[in-house]
Amino acid sequence: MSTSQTQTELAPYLQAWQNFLPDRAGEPAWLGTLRRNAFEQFEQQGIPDRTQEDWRFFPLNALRTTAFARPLPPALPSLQQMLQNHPLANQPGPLLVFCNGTFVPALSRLESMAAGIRVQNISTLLTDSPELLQPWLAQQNERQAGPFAALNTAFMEDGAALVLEKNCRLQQPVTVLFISQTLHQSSFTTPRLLVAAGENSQAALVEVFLSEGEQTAFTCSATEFALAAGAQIDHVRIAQENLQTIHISSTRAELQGNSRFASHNMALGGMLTRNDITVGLRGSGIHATLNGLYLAGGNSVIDNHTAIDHAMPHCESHELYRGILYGRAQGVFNGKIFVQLDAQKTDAKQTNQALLLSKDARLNTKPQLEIFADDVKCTHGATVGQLSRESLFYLRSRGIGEEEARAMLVQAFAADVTGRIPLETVSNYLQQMLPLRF
Amino acid sequence: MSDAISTIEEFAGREYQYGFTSEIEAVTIPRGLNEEIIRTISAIKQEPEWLLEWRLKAFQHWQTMSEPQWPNVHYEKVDYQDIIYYSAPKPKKQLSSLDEVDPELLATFEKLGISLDEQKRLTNVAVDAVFDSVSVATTFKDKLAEMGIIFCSFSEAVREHPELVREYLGTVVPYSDNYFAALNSAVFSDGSFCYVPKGVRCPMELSTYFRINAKDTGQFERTLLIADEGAYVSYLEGCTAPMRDENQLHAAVVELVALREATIKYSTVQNWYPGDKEGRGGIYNFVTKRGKCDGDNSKITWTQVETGSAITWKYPSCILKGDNSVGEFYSVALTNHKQQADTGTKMIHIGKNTRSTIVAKGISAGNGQNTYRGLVRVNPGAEGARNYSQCDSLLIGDRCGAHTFPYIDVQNPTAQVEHEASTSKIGEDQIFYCNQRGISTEDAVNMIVNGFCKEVFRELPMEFAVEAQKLLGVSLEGSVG
Repeated sequence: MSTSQTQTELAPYLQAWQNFLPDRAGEPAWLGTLRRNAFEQFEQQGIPDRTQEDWRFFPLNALRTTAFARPLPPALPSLQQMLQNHPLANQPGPLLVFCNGTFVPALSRLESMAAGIRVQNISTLLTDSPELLQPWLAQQNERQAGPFAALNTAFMEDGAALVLEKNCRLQQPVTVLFISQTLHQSSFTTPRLLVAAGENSQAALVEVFLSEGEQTAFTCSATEFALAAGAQIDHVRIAQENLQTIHISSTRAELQGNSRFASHNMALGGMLTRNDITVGLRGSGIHATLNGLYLAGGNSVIDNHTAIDHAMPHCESHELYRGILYGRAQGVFNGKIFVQLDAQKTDAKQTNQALLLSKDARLNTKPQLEIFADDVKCTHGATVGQLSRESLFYLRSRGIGEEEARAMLVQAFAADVTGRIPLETVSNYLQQMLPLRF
Repeated sequence: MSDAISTIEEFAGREYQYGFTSEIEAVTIPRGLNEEIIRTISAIKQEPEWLLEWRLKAFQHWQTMSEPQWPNVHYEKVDYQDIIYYSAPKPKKQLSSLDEVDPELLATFEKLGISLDEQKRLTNVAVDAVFDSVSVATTFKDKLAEMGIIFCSFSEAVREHPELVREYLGTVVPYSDNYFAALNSAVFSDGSFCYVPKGVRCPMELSTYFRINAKDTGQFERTLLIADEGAYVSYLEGCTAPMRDENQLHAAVVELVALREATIKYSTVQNWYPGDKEGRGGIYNFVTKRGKCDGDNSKITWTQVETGSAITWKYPSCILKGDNSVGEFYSVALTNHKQQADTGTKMIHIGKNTRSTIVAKGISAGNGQNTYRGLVRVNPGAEGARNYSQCDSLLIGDRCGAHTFPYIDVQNPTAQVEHEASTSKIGEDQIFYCNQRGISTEDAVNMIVNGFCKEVFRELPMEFAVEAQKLLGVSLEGSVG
C-alpha cells in the first residue's frame, strides 16, 4: 500500500504523527517502540477500501476527505453541566471522565480501592507504575487487529486501566466516559481501555462514548482485555455520540481457562460506526457472551464485526445481536466463529436479528462459521423482517395509537438484549434512550 | 468404535470406480489459447460470424480479468496456455441411428451404466450424450420434436435455430460475468440446448451425460435452457469422468430462462474424478450456473448432489425478476480425502412477492473442506420477498472442515429473511443404537447420512435419487468420529 494515492490520504496522519512524537519524550522506551511499530503498521495497511472483504459495506471516504485535527483541551464548565444529571455519571462506583483524549480529574471519582485493585487513568499509571501496564498494553495480536487499532496505539494519549490481582473483586461497576467536545472544530481522539484481570478476579465496566457539540469527530477507540483463569468480566460499551461522528473501535479479549467474559455492545449514535470485537478462547471451560444492540436512523451506517476463536475444547460462546434500522440507515453484521482442530465439544451459538422499519433502510448480514473439529455443536441464525402485523393489530385493538404501538414493539425487541446486562441502571438507561418514533 | 472406524476407513478409502479411458481417435488442435485458436474452434464448428465475434469479445474481456482468489479453496494454478481447447471424435459421417455410433464409445457409456440403448428402450429418458466436446447421439428427438420441443446439442442449435440462440445466449450469464464464464464464452465447445414452447409440458426428464475424455482436454460446456410461457421442463445432468493424474479444468456455463408461469427443474448428480487419496489429479470444477425467472409466477429449482471433483466451485443461482417467482436450491455436497468444495447459491429478489428456499447440506470426511457460500439479496423493489435458508454441516472425522459464508443483503422492510445453520456429527450413540438392533456400522452410517440428506434427495427425480444414494454410499460414508 505505498501508492501515491495512499500517501496523500495518510498525509494528515503523518503530519500529526510528526507533531505528536516529540511530546511523548518522557514516556518509557518500550511504549515508544510500541507506538513506532503501530504507526508503521498503520502506514503499511493504510485506510482500507471497499475491495477488502472486511470493509465491503463501510464507506470510509469521510476519513479520506476530512482532515481531522488533534483535539483542543477540554472546556470544563459545559462538561460539568452535561454530566451533572447524567444517570451513568452518577451511578455508584469509580468514575473516570476523559474529554478530548485528556483525563479530567475534577469530574472523576477515584475512590480508594482495596489492595490488589488498581483503577486509574493510563497516563498517571505510566509515570506511577509503568510495570503494571507493560505486560498488557498493546500486547494482543496487534498485527491482525487492523489499521485502526494500530492508529490508536500510535496516538494513544490517555485512557482507563483496570488491573486486578488474583482473587480481587470489585463490588461496583467502573464507569469510563469518553467525551468528544466538538464545539468548534472536527477532531480526532484515541480513547483506550485496558483491563488485566488476575485469576478468579471479577469486575464490571461500563464504557460510554458521548459527544458535546455538533461538529464532526473521529473516535478511534481500542479496548483490550486479558482474563486469567477463572476471571469474570462484564463489559458494557455504549456509543452514543452525535450524528456527525465517525466511530471506529477495536475490542480484543484473550481468555484463559474457566474465565467468563461478557460483552454488551450498544451502538446508539454516530454517523459511521464500526465495531470490531475479537475474542480468543485460549483455555478450557470458558464462557464467552457477545451481545449487541444497534440502532441507526438517518443516513447512519453501523457495522459490527465479531470474531470468536475457539482454540480449546469444552468452551461455550453465545452471541445475540439485534438491530433496529430506520430512515436511510444501513446496518452490517458480520459474525465469525472459528472452531479449531483441538476445540472439541465446543458449543457455539450465534443469532443476529434485525428489524427494518423503513423503505430505505438496508441490512447486510453475514454469519460465518469455520469449523475444523468434528465433535461440536455450532448453530447460527439470522433473521431480517419488520414488526409483526398481528402484534401491531393486537395493541391497536386495545386503543394504543400506531406510533406508540410501534415504539412499544421496538422497545420490547431491544429489551431482550439490554435486559441481559447485569447492571440495572445501565439497562434502564438504554431503554430510555430508544427513540419514541420510527 | 475401532471396528466402525476401520469399516469407515475402508469405505472412505474406496477408489473411484469409474476410472477408465476409451481409445477413440480424437481431432485436436494445438495447445494454448489465442484469437487464432478461437477462430479455429469457430471454423471447425461452422459458426456464424456473430457467434465468432461474441467469442472474441469474451476472449478480449477475459484477458483483462484475473483469476478470482476469494474462494475458500486451494489448488495449483492452472496454466491456461497448456490446455487443448477443442477435441472431438473424428466425424465419421452423419449418424442416423445409434447403431452407427462408435462401439467403443457405446461401451464406455455401458460401463457407466447409462447405455443409450437401454435408456432409449426402457427408461423413456431422452439422452443427449456429450462425449468430450461434440454430441454424438441424441435420442427421442423426434418424439420431442412432435411437441415442438427443441432438444439438441448446442452446435446444432446454432445451425438450426440461430435466432433463438442469439436471442438468449449470454442474457443470464453475460460473457463479462466472471473469469471462468468469460473463458467459457470464448472457447466453449459444445453443450446442450433446449427450448420448450408455450404451454408445453415436457413429457420426460431430459438428460445429458457428459464425460471428460481425451487426456489434457479441458471441457467447456455451455447449456442454454429456455422454458417459454407456461412451459414445464425437468432437466437432469450427470457426470462421471475417467481417472486422470493431471488436473483437468472444467469451466461450464449453464443458463436457464423461465418466462411467465414457466417451471424449470434442473437436477445434477456430479461424480467426477476427485483425485486419489493424496489429492493428486482430480477435476477442477469451476462452473457458472444461473437461472432467470424472467416472467411472473415462474419457478426455477436447482437440485445438486456433488460428490466428485477435486475442487468444486459453483453457485447455481436464481434471479427472481418476475413477480411471485420462486427460486429453490437443494444441495448435498460431499468432500472426502483432499476434496474441496466451495458451493452455494445466490437468490436475487427483484420482483414483488418473490420467494426462495435454500437447503444446503455439506458433508465433510477425511481431509475434505466444505464451504457453503450464499447470497440472499432483496432489492428495494422486492415487496413482500420471502427467503428461508438452512445450511447444515455434517463432519465425519477430525481432519475435515466445514465453513459457512452466508451473505444476506436486505433493502426492503417488507422482506422476511431467515437463515439457520447447524453443524453436527454422527454420534456414537446413534451408531450404537443401530448396532444394538443388528444394523452394521456401515449400514448405520449410510442410514444416518441418507437421513441427513433426505430433504434434498426427495427433490431429485426418481432415478437420480437412487443413483445419488448409491453415490453417497460409495464415496461418502467416511469416518464416524
